[in-house]
Formats: sequence, C-alpha cells, structure tokens
Amino acid sequence: MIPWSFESGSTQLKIAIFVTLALGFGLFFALMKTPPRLRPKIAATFTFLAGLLYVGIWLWPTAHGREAGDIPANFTEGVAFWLEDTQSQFQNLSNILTSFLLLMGVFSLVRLHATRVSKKQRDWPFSLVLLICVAIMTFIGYWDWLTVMNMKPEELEAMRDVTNQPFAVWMKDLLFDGLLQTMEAAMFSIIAFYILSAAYRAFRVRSVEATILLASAIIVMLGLLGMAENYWSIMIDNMGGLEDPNALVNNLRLEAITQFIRDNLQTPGLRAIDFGVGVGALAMALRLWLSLERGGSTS
Amino acid sequence: MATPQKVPGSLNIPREALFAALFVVCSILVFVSIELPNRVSNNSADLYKVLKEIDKTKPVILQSDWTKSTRGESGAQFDALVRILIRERVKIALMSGADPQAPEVAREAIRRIAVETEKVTGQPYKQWEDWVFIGFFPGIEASLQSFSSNLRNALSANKDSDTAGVKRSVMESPVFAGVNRIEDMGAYIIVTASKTSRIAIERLSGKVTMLGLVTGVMGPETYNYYQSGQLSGLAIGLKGAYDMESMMAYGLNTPDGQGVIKVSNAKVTDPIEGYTGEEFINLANGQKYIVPLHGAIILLITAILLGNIETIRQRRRRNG
Repeated sequence: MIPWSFESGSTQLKIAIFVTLALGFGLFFALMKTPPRLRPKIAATFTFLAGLLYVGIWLWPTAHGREAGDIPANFTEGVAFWLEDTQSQFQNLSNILTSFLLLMGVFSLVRLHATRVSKKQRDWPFSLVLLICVAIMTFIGYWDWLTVMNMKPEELEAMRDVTNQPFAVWMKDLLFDGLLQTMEAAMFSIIAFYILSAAYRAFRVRSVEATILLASAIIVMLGLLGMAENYWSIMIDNMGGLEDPNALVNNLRLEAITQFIRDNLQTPGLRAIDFGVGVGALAMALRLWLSLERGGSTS
Repeated sequence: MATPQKVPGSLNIPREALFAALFVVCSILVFVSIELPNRVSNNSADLYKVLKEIDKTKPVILQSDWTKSTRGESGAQFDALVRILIRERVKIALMSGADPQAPEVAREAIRRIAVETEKVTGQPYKQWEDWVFIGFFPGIEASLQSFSSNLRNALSANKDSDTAGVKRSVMESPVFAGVNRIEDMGAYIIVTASKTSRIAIERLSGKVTMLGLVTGVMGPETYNYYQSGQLSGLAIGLKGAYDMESMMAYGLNTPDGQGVIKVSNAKVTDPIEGYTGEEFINLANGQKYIVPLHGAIILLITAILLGNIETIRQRRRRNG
C-alpha cells in the first residue's frame, strides 16, 4: 500500500481526514498568531523546501531499474528511492491545492453576484440567472454522479440505450452536452466574425513590412486550402515539375512555399521568443524559490 | 471598433454585411458534402505512420485537454485518433489536465466510437479492460513530473470502476498489465487546445514516443517541437483532422484497385494501409468542416483584397 493512501470509506481514511483537518486548522490558527515579521520567513522556508525537492530530483542520481519491494543498497540509493516516492505525494498535494483554487473561484463568483443581487445593483437579473444556473448545474451534477456510482454494471450497460437513462443522467446530458457545451462552441465561433471584420479593416498595404506580412499571410492561408494546393500543384506539374522532380519550378509549389515560410521564418522566430521566455522564467523561478522578490523575506 | 464613415463611391463594406456573408457561407457549406482534394502535410503523415506502427501490446496515455469550444478541430482530431487506436486494439489510459469539462467530453467520445467500431468488427472495447480513465490532474506540472519518475507510484492511488462496478486502483486494470514506468507505454498522445502539450514535452520527452494533436492557433508554436524531433507526429487544426481522415480512408502511398495513389506524401514514402474494404467510418467531421473552412478562408482573403483595393483607390484619390 502507498503511504497515506487508504481504502475508500474505511475507518483509517476517516481518521486520517479528521487528523489532517485538525492539523490544518491548527497550523492555520498558529500562523494567525505568529508575529507579522515572522510570517514571510515561514512562507520563504516552505517555498525553499518545496523547491529543494525538485532540485534534488533533478540533481540526485536516479535509481534505474528499481522494482517493487527493492531495498536501497546504500545512502545514495536510499535518498533516490525517497525522492521518487515523495513525488507522488507532492503530486497529490499539488492536485488538491489546485482544486482548492477552483473552489475559491466558485466562491468568489457566487459572493460577487449574490452581493449584486441583494443590493439590486445594475444588471442584477443577469447575476440572478448565473446564480440559479450554478445551483442547478451543481445539484444535477452531484445527482448524476451519485446515480451512476450506485448503478450495477448491467444497468450501466443498459444505459447505452438513451431511453433507459435515469432522469438525473438525462438531465445532466441535457444541461452539459445539450446546453453548456453547445453554448461554449457558439461563443467561440463568434471570434470568426471579428477576425473577418478586423482583417478587412486592418490588413492593409500601408508599408513595406505590412506588404510582406500580408503576402506571407495570404500564402499561409492558401496553404490551408487543400483545393488551392492541389490546383496549384497541377499548374506546376504542367510547367514541367512532374517530369523532372529536381526542376527549379518545383520550388514554387504552394506546399513548398508554405513549408519554407514555416520552417525558416515562423518557427525560428517563435523559437527565439520561446528561448527568451524560458530564460526569463528560469530567472523568475530562482527569484521566487530564494524569495528574492521585492517584499520577500530576504529583500 | 468603430465603423469607418462611408465615402461616396467607395468600397467600404459595413461590418454587418461581412458578418452576414460569413454566416451565409459557413451555414450553407456545412451541409455540402463533397470530398475536397487534399495534400497530406508531413507532420500529419508522420503521426499516422507512428500510430499505425505502434506496438499493440503496449498501452498509450491519451491526455485530452479540449472541450466543445474547439470541437470543430479538436473533436474531429480526437475522433480520428480514437478510431485508429480502437481499430488497432491499442489500450488507452485516458487523462486530462487542463479543463474540468475535458474528461467528460473525452469519455463520451470514446464510448461512442467504441460502440460504432463494435458494430463493424463485433469486438467490444470496454472500459477497465481496454481503456481506463486515470484521472483529472489540475496540478498537471507536478503530476507529469511524477509520471516521469515512477508511473506506478504516481497512479496507484487513482481509481476507476472495474467491470463489476467496484472502484479499484487503475494500475490493477488490464490496461496497465506489465507497466511500471512511463518507458513501458507505447506512446504519450496529447490532444489539446492550449499549452499543455509543452508541459508534457518538457517532462516526458525522450522517455516515451510523444504525439500531438493541436488546434490551428497552437499549431505554430507546437510545430517547434515536431521540428526538433520531440514530437514524433503532429496534427494541426482542421487540416490535420482531414489529413488523418484522408489517410484512414485511402491509406498513405497506397494504390487503390485501379493502381491510383489517392493520398501521398513526399516525406513518408512507405505505403501504409488505410481502413478500406470494411464499413468503417473514415471521412467524418474533418471532411464535413473542411468545406466551410475553405469558404471562410476564401471569404477572408477576398475581404482582405477588397480592403486593399479600397486603400489603393483612396491613395489615388488623395494624390489627384
């Protein structure tokens, strides 16, 4: 059994949850009682230790070919085993913390809109609609989850036929697939209208740079059209490209031009930007890890 | 954006007219079912080759990070990919890391395609035995780092229902038989509409064969990783989906009954079979949506050209 992992619904799990909650609240309370000058130092210590684990994983020799139940042969291997095993616990911690962010988002959204409705601020009916939708979606989501969780395998199999679906599942399908997902797709597709309008008004030949950009954009767009690529190639074939594969005219094929733009102009440009961003991210990560940011404990 | 004032005799097209034109063009063309000629991109051909030559005894991890907002591209790509994997009887470990809606969308698609394939082959593709959902990982960075170190440890606590409806560790599923490390997987495939492919490449590249299926917007920056060899194959946008469907329907560099090669590629020159001769669905949403995409891009190019004609006319008027 993996440490800290217990069977669903077991007494051990319940005790573990209770102890963790008690410890969590205890720590929270202790932090609140800590003098304000000490708090940044505590945060910096935890940040450093968390970062140190990943630095250790990166730098410490890896235990290759490790099998389940292996016992470490020496200290180095012992640390390697420990680092490897600790990662899955950190993974769980990271997933739980990120899930709390989602919960905080929902809480913040509900608080904002509930205030707006209670004070009858501008456009409050829209806020009311949002709150009702959140409540219905949450209720139906959990109802569906509980219904499916308690179903026997043969009942699940029978659900392939939509007429056999329980009401909760049918409602979830209606709200999630029928409504939410469709509305999301519709919202996203609206961008196309703005792209068209913006392209018409802004993509103008105003300078040499703009002309180069416009020409390459049109070539790349044409390259997305299989039909254009195909007829362009037929034209090149008729110009002698088919008979001699090494003919110069073959370089004028639409796919050859788009490939050239992509490989020699677009990708190197993006790679340069990515490289710069990567170096910046590394510097930022170091500053965060060592708490060197302005307002950090060591500043 | 303010609409410019109409100059007498000018070509200034009102925004509403452009919107109406796009709406009409796309709405009509979505119902036009024609097979447009296509030239398969090198990156799509590589993707298809790797998928067809994958070791069928090893499972693949399929990270699905798309929702219905990009269903035109990602949905078509995902369907084509899952069709290939199920037909090849490759076991799938499904996961998500970007959007809480993504797992539901992906599971629904796999179930639908499993039923569709069973109708043709008669072989069921069952959850737990053939595919398993290994979880939604909101902290994807730490999770993938953990996958990279020790996959078995990373996933042991994650559960899915077995065929009897009992929740068990996903590592007990037949999908993961003989798998301990990420190196034991056949491939790591990521279908995404965001930057999650980059997170995966940074942590898993070099340990497992990686494949990407991304939206047109994410295409240029993900192409970097294909060019560097970190991604062994890549489908970009709707064109990528249509490429895959074309190769599934006619094979790659494979002559038909009359000796005609319908789909070929200059980079991947080996003949690779498609799924012809059976009642498989090959040309699907990729083919359906590529026609409106053609219409929309032609309209976009036309609008740009008209705008520039107007600019040149205005410049001439100003210069007398």
